[in-house]
Amino acid sequence: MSARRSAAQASHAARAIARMYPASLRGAHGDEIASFVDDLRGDARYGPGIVGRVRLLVHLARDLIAVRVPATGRTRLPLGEPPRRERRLETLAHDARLALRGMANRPAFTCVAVITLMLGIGANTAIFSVVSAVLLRPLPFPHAERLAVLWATNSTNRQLLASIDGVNDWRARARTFDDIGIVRTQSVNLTGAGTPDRLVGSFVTANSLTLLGAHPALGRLFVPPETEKGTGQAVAIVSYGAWRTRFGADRRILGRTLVLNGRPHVVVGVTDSAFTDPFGADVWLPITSAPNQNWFQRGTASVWAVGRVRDGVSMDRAQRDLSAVAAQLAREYPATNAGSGALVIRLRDWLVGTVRPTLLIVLAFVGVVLLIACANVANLQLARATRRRREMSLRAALGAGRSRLVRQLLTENLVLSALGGAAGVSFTVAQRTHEVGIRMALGARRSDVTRMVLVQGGRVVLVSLAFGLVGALGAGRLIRNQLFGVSAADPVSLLGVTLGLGLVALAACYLPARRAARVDPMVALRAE
Amino acid sequence: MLALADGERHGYAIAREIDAVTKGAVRMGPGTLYGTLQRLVASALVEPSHAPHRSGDDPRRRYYRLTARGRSALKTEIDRLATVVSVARRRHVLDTPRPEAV
Repeated sequence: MSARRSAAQASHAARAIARMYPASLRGAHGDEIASFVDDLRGDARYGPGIVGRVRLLVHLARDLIAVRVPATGRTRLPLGEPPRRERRLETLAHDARLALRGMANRPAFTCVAVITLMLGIGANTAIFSVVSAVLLRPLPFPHAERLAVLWATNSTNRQLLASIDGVNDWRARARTFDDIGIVRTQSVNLTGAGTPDRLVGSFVTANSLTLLGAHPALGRLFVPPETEKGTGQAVAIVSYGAWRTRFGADRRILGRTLVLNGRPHVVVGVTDSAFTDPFGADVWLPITSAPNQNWFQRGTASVWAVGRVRDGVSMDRAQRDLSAVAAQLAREYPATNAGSGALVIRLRDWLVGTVRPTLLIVLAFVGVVLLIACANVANLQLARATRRRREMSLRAALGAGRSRLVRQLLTENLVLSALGGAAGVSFTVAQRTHEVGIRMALGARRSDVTRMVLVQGGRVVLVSLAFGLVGALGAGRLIRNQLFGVSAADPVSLLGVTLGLGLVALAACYLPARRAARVDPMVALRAE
Repeated sequence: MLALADGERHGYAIAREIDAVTKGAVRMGPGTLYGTLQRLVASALVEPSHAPHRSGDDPRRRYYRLTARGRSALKTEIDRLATVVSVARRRHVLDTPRPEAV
């Protein structure tokens, strides 16, 4: 990014900060504040380079905090008597204000700590959301753990296409499968409906869609005779995503004729938004609409299959069963099936494939980055703690107990972590605008997106809480030699503060979550 | 208020004056400055000037000046501070402490 562009963005940010002053001040002095900010931008100390602009931003941010977070009258040092229950919230608010003002007074420390945490947390949130989606969350199919992709093999290759007759034989003879359906994806040409387009077509038998748990949002799915040789019909089902993006979510699509690969097909259904095809199809066609009738010869390897293993049957047993069937077929049809076997791969393993170890390594890597970030911030805090011995000993001399001091340090750490967390989650949300746009185009509601970001933010908050608690207890021990005969930590108030601040930190994630939910899918997708 | 003692000024000029007088120790931003001015105007110590704008001046600016009451309050406060300072001087509070011989 060029320095000029950065400076322009900083000026933009300066004007944005000016808009955050209290309404009463903006109402009475709005023009004057704008003129003041313009004068500051013209000031030699604050411009025109990026350094000057950042200095201006820090100046305005400190001013904003001074106005928005008023000092509590005279400087009141927190005293030592155990605060009564009803005063705990007031103390918490006081600590949070103290933390914010302290951070505003040390902009360099705050910037370094927040940016360090932001990068660590941002990278972790992004990678963890991928890992969670790919490795941890159950696949969105009914009985997902029993679903498998079936391939042919020969002596040298695994994962070869099988013949349609071969798959039909597997289905008829294998005893360990509830059902086996045929699948073959291939791009298809769509003509006769405005601009010609290429879609991902999936040639299937009717049971493939039911095995994968598809439900129609409009119309119906295929019925078995429509996809069988001899009774096959020229019909098609459109995916929810393609229906929204390619056909403008037109409900009159049912009964419409689409020319696919030069052959008219009547649309009989649209799948619902919850269904995701593991093979990425935009439109499903009966296997009988195959682009090449050679596919139906026994010797032609043209398809693969998706199968659901019977309840209680292991994948290994299913593999042995299907291998036995393949061996039987090799004996019966030596001309076409000699040396041919079968392979059963759990659907999840097939989808994740070789990505799993790579993802785990990347996750471990960004975990270490977060640890380093935490260690850096902890170092900064310790360096500050030694400088703050005087302040702490004064408070202790005035009677503040260890738990009171620890609580204040905990609040400071949590405010810092919440800022870092909010910045990190914002950073991730900004990176994922396109994905959010796609989700919304595919029918995700704003509440879904908000929930998604909040759940991810919640994990960050848990890490922040752990980090804040450890940091505060550590710092408390470090300054213990300054404290004479004071009370021990109060577990109830520590727990209360931790919970309260957890909620506050979670609330901080709500801002980026709301921002994500406001993404306009059209704008996000157009930016690509 | 002291920044307005020698004539009317607009907000930014007041901030510059305070910055210069305190040698950079007090730098007021727009929020703190106009917040303070609002309170001073509400207490009738300062008032916006209605003099016509100078040519070439930013029309968004407003000039402020001390009211008679403000000038009197400023004088009272400075007299009070002067008394405090003179008492402090008489008691040698401001002298640089010398290490005492043991």
